[in-house]
Amino acid sequence: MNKRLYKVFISQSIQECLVYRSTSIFVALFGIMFFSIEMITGIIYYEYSDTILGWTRNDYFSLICTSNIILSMYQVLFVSAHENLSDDIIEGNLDYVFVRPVKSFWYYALYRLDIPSAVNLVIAIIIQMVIISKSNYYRINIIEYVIFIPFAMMFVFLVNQLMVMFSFWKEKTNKLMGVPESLIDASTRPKVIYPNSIIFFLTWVLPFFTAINGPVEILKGNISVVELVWFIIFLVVLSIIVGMVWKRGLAKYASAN
Amino acid sequence: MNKYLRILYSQISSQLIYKFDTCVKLALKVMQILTTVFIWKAIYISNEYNYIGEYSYNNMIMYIILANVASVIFSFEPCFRLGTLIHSGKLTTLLLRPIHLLYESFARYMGSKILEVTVYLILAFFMINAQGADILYVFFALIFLLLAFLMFFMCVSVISTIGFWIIQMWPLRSILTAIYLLMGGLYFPLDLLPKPYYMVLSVTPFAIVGHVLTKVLTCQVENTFILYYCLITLIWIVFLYYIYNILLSKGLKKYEGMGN
Repeated sequence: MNKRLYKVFISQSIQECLVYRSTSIFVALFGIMFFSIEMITGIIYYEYSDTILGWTRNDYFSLICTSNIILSMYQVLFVSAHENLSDDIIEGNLDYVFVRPVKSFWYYALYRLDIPSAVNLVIAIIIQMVIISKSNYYRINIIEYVIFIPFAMMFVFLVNQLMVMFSFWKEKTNKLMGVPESLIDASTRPKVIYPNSIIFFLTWVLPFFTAINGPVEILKGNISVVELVWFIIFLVVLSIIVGMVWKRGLAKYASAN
Repeated sequence: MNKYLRILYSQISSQLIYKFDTCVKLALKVMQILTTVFIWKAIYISNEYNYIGEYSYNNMIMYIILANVASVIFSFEPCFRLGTLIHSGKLTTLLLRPIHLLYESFARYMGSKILEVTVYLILAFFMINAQGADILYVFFALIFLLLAFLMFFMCVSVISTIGFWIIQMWPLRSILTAIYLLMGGLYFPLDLLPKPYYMVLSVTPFAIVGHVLTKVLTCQVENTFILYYCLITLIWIVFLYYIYNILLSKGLKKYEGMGN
């Protein structure tokens, strides 16, 4: 993969977005509706209480915006590949990737951008900027927050990639691919609502809370350095595992499926 | 009829073969229910009142669990299957066969859900009985449940026809789930909303299979209420069937059969 090739992918993605205009409008519209539903739910929850276990309305909406920013970034960059990978493995369509003189992993992961999801990303960023401007967060925390977001997005990508690669070994993995989605969904609520055992598991074993709740905790200045360091180590290890599983999966892949 | 029974049987077999998939599906559902339960628990702890709307803490948790458990039998899978068939061009194979698309889809849907529906029907029966409801109430409730199931299938069938017009179906998954969670009253009971909103929302398909069904199962309503909703559900079924046929015939005119 190089910059020139990626520019071609971006150009093709934009052209595809413009050719399939109705699809693009629907995708953008669905994204906005999903975001609105999350916000409406938050409004209902805070109708009955000003804070939920120490989380203010602002914190909650900040969490919703942050999770939408992370997920929209993931969708823009990688979701097209993940949506097709399972079928392509089972139907033997990966051959077209292997005949090209590029790294198959990155070629497949990045070959198509989902441009309409960028609309949702922009809306979430704007609302989050308004929330941040109305709050008294320290500037250093805001900088840390911005730096952390790409790492959280990388975590979402790697976990989804790992799950989708199970298709190299198992035929029916639809529900398995729903596992990261469900864990991310659970992490879009303040982690303080969960029992300690779940908080421990989703912070120190599979750090979904650090990825999704973490940025808001950073803004509030509540996150520990140990948790952040552990998250980075986890990301590095996960990247290595994902790379190894991809190689093993390719060895198992039979194009004549 | 025999051909549809074969499709149904093949789906049941598939469910039994891919046990791991079924187990994961149930585990994910439990996780989704727990998330909503925990957030309501936190709201009650943070709130100085014992009641929110008409709901005590126990009533609320019972409501959330029942409303969310019902979602096990209401799935959006048929939406995406038609889209995949259209985009791959494989729909042609189905069109060439002497079967009706809608009935074939229903047989598949029933087959993929029959285990959950059976367990849910048994649970619903015992749940209503345990609350001392009379036999007429049980009868009406079961009729309502079956009608709601049929209506939901028609609703997802109508949504599935969108596959003729859009290329990417994946964004539908999250938005449909979110709409169902919100408008079905799975996040919170719909009667917590201001009355005008509630009156409008409570007659929509998602509210019928979520909020209304949960009210019926918890015996919080009269027989006349169930009959009223049976009628509304029937109207929805007829209306959605009509819309489905229109959209299908328009979609088939647009369908090229080549895939993309």
